[in-house]
Amino acid sequence: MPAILVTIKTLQPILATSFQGDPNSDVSYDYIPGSMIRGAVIGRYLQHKKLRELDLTDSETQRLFFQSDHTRYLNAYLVSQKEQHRTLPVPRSWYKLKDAEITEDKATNIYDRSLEQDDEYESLKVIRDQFCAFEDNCIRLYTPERRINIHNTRDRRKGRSSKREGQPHSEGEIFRYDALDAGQTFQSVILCEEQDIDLLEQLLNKPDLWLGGSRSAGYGHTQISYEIQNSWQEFQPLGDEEDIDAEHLTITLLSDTLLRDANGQPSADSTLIAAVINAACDSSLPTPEPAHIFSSQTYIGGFNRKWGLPLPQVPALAAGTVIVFENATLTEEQIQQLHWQGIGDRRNEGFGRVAINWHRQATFQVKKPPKPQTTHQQPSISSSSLPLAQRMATQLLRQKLDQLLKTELDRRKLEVGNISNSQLSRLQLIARRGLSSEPASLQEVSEFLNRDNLTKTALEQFQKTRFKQTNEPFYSWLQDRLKNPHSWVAQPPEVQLSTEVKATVDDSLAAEYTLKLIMAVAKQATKEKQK
Amino acid sequence: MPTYTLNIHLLSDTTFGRGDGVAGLIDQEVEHDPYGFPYLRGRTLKGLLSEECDNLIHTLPGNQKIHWQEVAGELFGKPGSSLDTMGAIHVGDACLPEDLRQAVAYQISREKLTRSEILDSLTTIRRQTAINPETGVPDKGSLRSARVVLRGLTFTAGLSFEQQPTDDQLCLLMIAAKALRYLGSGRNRGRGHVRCHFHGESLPSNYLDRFFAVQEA
Repeated sequence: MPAILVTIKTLQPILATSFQGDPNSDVSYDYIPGSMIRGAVIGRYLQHKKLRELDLTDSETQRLFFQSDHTRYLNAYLVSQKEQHRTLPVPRSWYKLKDAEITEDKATNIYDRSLEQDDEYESLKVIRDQFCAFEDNCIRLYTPERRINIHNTRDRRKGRSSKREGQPHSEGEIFRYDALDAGQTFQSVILCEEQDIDLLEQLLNKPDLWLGGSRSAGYGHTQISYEIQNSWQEFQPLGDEEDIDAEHLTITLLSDTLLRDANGQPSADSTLIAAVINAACDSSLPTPEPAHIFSSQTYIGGFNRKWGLPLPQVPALAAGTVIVFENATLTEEQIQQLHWQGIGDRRNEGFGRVAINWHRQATFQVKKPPKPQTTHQQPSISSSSLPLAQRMATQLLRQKLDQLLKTELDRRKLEVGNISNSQLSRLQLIARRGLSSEPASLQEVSEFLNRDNLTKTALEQFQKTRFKQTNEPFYSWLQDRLKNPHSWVAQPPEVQLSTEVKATVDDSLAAEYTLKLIMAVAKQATKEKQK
Repeated sequence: MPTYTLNIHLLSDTTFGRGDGVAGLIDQEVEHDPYGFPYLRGRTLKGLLSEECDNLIHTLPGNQKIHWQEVAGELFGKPGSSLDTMGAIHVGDACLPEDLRQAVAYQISREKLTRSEILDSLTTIRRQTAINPETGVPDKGSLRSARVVLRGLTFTAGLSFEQQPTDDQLCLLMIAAKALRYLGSGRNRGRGHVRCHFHGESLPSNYLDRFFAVQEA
């Protein structure tokens, strides 16, 4: 059977809603469910065939979308960074030492408790990451990036978030979308029959696809590409086959699995797996022992766009569940059938994927994925964006100068006993006048501080006043600053956004900030005197 | 995939709220991306365009109103929509130029700039109090601060369709863009004054006449 590998790059956040969080909030799954991909393909099929509704009696429709034995749309999981393979859920039998930290550089040991239940390590913890891939001779653990947005409903008439007419409890309605972030790549697989390949190719050839909730309002835009493989395998065994006991059968769920109990009710009882496999393959697996079950429960729902309603919620076994059968075997054909068909309900939507004897090593080394490589080439800025870029660069330069000004001010505290507040205020007023001229000019302050223009008393006050930290006379400091306004900036800051956009401290900016410094020093001294 | 663009030019300082603040610093933060660039969410923008359409359609005479209400329904869809009532338009976030964002992302990755510096270079913080009408002095505890995006910036949003939109749909969008004059928080108090331009190929030229044309019953 051929497999169509569909690579999905998210251009906007995706809301693939799961059952978590407040009633008003949406928390997305960590993956794009197969049902969502099937829904998108149905949408394109309707467009392609120019239909308003699916004809459920049509054999092609049934085969493409509803019959689990013919076509299956598998969940889109994150793609590994290096080899661009579809990652798989982390088995729940993997544990790490409690204090062990998983990083991107240093390998950390993890222990598979389904193969070896050694009591040597008492303080083991489950692994929190969701997906894994075998890369660089170790396992890389992946977790999708998420984006949380807050929205609120707004009363259009009142123009604000308030009680809506006819809805007395709607006041201040706020909701939170926890979505899969943009800029990530996922991969889904469509397992189909040879005869449907051409049609599915036609349906997948347009790259722009919208998935999930709020698709018309800033969510769900993706770009897809596909590749057809005739010998596709969902997983590669980890470790050597000889390391595993011939009669030791490990079943790992690669997606959530919907099972039914003897009464036909949905159930998350992991022991039901044996019965389901026995029924599907005519095998005779025994009921697994509790010590050999590493499972977790989840709830599965969904949304039917045709009905415009949510689907019923049912309990299910979570992806990553591991069950070990001792003294049990399956034939190669039975294993192939299980790998290809899966188990349980809604297999056409990606549920019930299984891996048999996937991992065959009791100890692995794991790392986090490496950080994405940044481009070495500096991006250029187009001519239309240059004015804004220049404005930003100037603003950033001013921020840096403001910071320098504060640092300089901390080092420039005056001994305030020898100078009156009126002299300091005059200095501030004249500096402000220089600041308001276009461009900022030091001329007026220079003239004010000229020996010929100052009265003898005023000159004495300026000359006698010194800085506390350096004992430098205030008057000579002022003269130095006026002669060389660049001098107080030891390392002139520079902001470069690209090769074209650069902001440096020019004479006008140096004069402006020198005036600001003089004003700030004088103001600081005035306040000091008032204490 | 037909794609059109909507340019939003800020004529006054604007707050694209994100529903939270920064403890001890700002009560109302603006929505910004991982590089510190403010943006207006597509969800909000769609709501604004839809609201402007509704307001204008409400002023039309009976038979025209019904026609344009149908067009608006096709264009924007209905809340909780099923396949039949799904909107034709996909509204993207209104962002600053992509090349500039990439250039800044490069500088941030080289640790030459930080996200907060970028945000500060495009925004400022406004503080205000409420005045007690009886005493004429600020109310106790009423001081609050909000970040505003500086005027003069132009944000661009992509509006996409899976199928070619009809002339009526384009006409309604152009009308909505023309009517959209205020957005964001405090829009009745001087903030958020904007001018919008709708761009794209084969746009109807006589959209105003078409919208207000009197139709026979």
